[in-house]
Amino acid sequence: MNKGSKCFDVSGLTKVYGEGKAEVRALRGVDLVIGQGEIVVLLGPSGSGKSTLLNILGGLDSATDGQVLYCGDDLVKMSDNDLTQYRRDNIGFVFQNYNLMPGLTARENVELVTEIAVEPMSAEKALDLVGLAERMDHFPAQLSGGEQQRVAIARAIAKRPTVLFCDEPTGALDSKTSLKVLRALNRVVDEIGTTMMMVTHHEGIAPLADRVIHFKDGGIDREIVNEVRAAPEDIEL
Amino acid sequence: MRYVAKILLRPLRSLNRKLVRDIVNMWGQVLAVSLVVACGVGIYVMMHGTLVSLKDTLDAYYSRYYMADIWAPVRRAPMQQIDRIAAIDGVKRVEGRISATALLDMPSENEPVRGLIVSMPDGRKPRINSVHIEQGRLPAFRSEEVLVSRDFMDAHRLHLGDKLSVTLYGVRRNLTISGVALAPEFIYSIAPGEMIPNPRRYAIMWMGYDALAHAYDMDGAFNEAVMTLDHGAQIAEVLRKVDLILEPYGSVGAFHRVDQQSDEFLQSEFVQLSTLGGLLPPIFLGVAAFLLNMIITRIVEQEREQIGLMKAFGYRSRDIVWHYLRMASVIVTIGVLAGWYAGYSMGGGMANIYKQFYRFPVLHFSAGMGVYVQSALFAFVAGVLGVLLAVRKTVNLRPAVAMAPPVPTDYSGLGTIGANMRWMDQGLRLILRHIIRWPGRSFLTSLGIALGMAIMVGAQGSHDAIERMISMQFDLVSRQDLTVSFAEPQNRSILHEIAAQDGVMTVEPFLALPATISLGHHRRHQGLMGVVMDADLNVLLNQRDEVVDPAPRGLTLSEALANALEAQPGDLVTVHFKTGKRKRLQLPVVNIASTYLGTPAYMELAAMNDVLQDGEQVSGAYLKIDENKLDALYIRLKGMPAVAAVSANKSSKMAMEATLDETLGTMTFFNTLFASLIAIGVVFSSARISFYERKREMASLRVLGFTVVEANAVLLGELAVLTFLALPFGAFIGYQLALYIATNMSSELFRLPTVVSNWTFGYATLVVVSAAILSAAVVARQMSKLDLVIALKTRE
Repeated sequence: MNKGSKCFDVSGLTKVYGEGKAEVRALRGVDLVIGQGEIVVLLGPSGSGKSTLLNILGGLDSATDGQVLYCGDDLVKMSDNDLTQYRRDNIGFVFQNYNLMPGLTARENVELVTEIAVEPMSAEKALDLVGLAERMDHFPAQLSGGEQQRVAIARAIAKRPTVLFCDEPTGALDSKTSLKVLRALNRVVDEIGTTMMMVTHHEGIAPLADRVIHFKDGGIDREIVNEVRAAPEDIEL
Repeated sequence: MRYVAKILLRPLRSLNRKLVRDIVNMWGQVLAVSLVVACGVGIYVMMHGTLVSLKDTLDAYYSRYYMADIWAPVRRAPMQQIDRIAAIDGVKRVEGRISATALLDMPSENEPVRGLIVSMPDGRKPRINSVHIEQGRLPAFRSEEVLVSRDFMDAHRLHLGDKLSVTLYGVRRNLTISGVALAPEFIYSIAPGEMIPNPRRYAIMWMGYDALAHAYDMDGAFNEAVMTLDHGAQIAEVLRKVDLILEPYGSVGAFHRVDQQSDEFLQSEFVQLSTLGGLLPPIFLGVAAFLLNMIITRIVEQEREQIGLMKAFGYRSRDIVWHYLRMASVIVTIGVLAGWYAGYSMGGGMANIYKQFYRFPVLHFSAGMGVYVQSALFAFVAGVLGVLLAVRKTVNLRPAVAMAPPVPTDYSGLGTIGANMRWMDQGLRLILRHIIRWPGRSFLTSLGIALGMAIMVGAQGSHDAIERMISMQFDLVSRQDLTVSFAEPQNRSILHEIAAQDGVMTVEPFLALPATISLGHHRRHQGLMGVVMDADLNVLLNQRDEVVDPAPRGLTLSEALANALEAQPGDLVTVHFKTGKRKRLQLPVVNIASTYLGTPAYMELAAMNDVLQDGEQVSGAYLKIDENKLDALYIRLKGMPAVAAVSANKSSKMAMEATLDETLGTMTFFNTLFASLIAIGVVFSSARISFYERKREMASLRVLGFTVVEANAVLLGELAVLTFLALPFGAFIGYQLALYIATNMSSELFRLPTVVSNWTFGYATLVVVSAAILSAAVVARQMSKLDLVIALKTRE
């Protein structure tokens, strides 16, 4: 996929949870195009639909209506098996809760992905990219929260994903640690040229993006394009 | 006060709602654990209830029909001696009667049918060892009418008024059936020399005294005194005095009810029931408690945060403990109710089988409240203990700590296994580390599965033991086709006559004589068996089950008899023969033989004749015959005046198999069924629990691109490993259980070898593995439906 070409072409995307009185419209016909290599930050209050969008684009959840084209394929119409394959080949995830395997060391957690990916980088390199070369053989229980999140990032990018989704990656961290994590993210994204979509509550993170999309009531409220992306060192949290 | 109560009750109401919802949400586990509890309770109710019902019925039957306390067989004693016996201190009531063997000619049977004919006072029922007349009436005065035992009537489809061709004292008579009867002394009636009841081949008949005395030339005499005793009578003293009175008339030795064949069999059956009933239910309930503990632990761990919250709101630890206790109570209650119902239904079935088998006039399954209360108490105590153990840890946490997500489990140390094994993929590493990081939990899961398997092996093992016992007895020990018994000991020359019959291939004589064998204060009424050296048809086995010869001089005792007498090789025992010259001899115990049935004592035939000095006697012979000439041979053997009985090994074996199948077989079937259900419950719960515990990890794997199959491999791989580890473990515990059951079920009547067949191991393995596969399929289905977003966002 070439830099500048479309990564996602989303049209009329709708997600409804529940039925009748309990019905919640999480997404109300969202139209959106994400370019390859673009860094997008999604902001908005809780329940505005940003995480739902991320989950659908990431193949974790199904849509009620609409279309999500990825390389010409419609994710909405994909089977479970196709979505698994899609995640396996193309997608990296970073969650607020890290979701590391407590039974595996940092290196082994990364290897969990490199063993099944097509052309992965080595687990050592991935961990080196996030600054954890020294702590590769530690178990999650022996790492701080920031370090655990960086292992999660290394695990997400080791397969050289086309798209990296981050859902509140700094949500559970203090500002100093958050900065470290953001630096790591910035570095790996530049290194492998991946598209990144990040959901956050932190307005302060917005300058790191190429584009900032504000969500409200299940739809896009407004979009801001940053002429120049700021470096993590230059932002304040 | 009311205000306080309202405040206290309000939170409980919402906890009630939570309770209901929790139970609805985990119905799978609730069902699995309830099932296990139900199995434990059911088997307890069934076994104890059957035992209680049998004992109560037997007691009532004995007392209503005046079951004798003492039997005193004698050759022939004048009726006047009855008064002397009645005068013995402790004797409540005594009657003299005639009890004699008879041969019946049944058109439907090729083999001669034996019978026991007992006299009863003319015109009335006996006052001791009475009979229950189920159909018809008492024999008419001085008529050739008889009452016939119900099982014989049923076996030959006889009707009232039918005539039986019976040889009494060498004279053939046509006796008319006047009634169908049952009697407490013949609940379990076995023809002499047989090992198991066979109603087709053994009839019990009752006839008026006058007619029978006339037939046997016993007018004014009796050959058996039966008596009841006063409460607290000195049994040994009475026995001694009775023997003293009857000694001049050819007493064979009076014996107490505990040595009476029917009662002895019944008591031994009760011991078996008690053994199984005392052993299996606690194991079943123990496994249930273990499962309950496992499930409650999981729920509590999952609800850690909620428990913290409740504590933060001001709930006391005991409110929370109470909440989980009620949850366990619901599960246990469902199990107990289902178990009661199952136990009651199956107990009813067992009672029916025993009623048929023992020929009780009535037998209702009535366990009594005690059995139900005990079983419920046992189940609830197990449940409460399970909850207390599970809840203890979390409830004691401070609210803030409980609410914070737990730190990731530390896998450093032991958990680093496989770090340097590059060939190992992460999935396998996860499986191994999870097992090793939670050794207690892994061990308990394996133990649970192993116990499930063990009770299957143990329950089915008793069936194997019985089959083995029968096969050892009939294929290894008693290899003859026919056993011919003479009415009286005969001179050896009769063997030539038998050998000359067409179809007889080998003849092997034996001499079985009634005797009392005593050592120290132990005394046994026990026949002594003279057997030949180099026997081919009926052999002795040593304790290693190898064929051995009888000791040339002295006695070879069965292990069971040696134990009963506390005799060892080298001891001198006193043998008091009850026939012929009624010799009293001191004979050494030379060796001990291994026997499966009864408590026999052996001597070499020639040596026995030497010491008896009654000439070369034989009392019967084992025959190997040409099967094609069997029918004609039967007829000729029946026609020989000296022959009292002919029994075929094959039909004895079949009868024994059928009998044991009917009683122990049914019990074993239920046990195996329950054990299988428990095993399935354990495996299923283990799989479900590990899925819930690791849902989040599994969701992570799926998000990382693992397919459902790959993620399942990690989760179910662990179950597979634990199941695999449990198999040898379960087989081992099962074998020990079978050993324990066999030892405890063995009695003087038979000894069960400890043997577990490959089939049993195979069956138990198959059930466990199938349960594992089935549970894996259920979990795999849940895995495919796993909502990744929810699973990942749930705080641990």
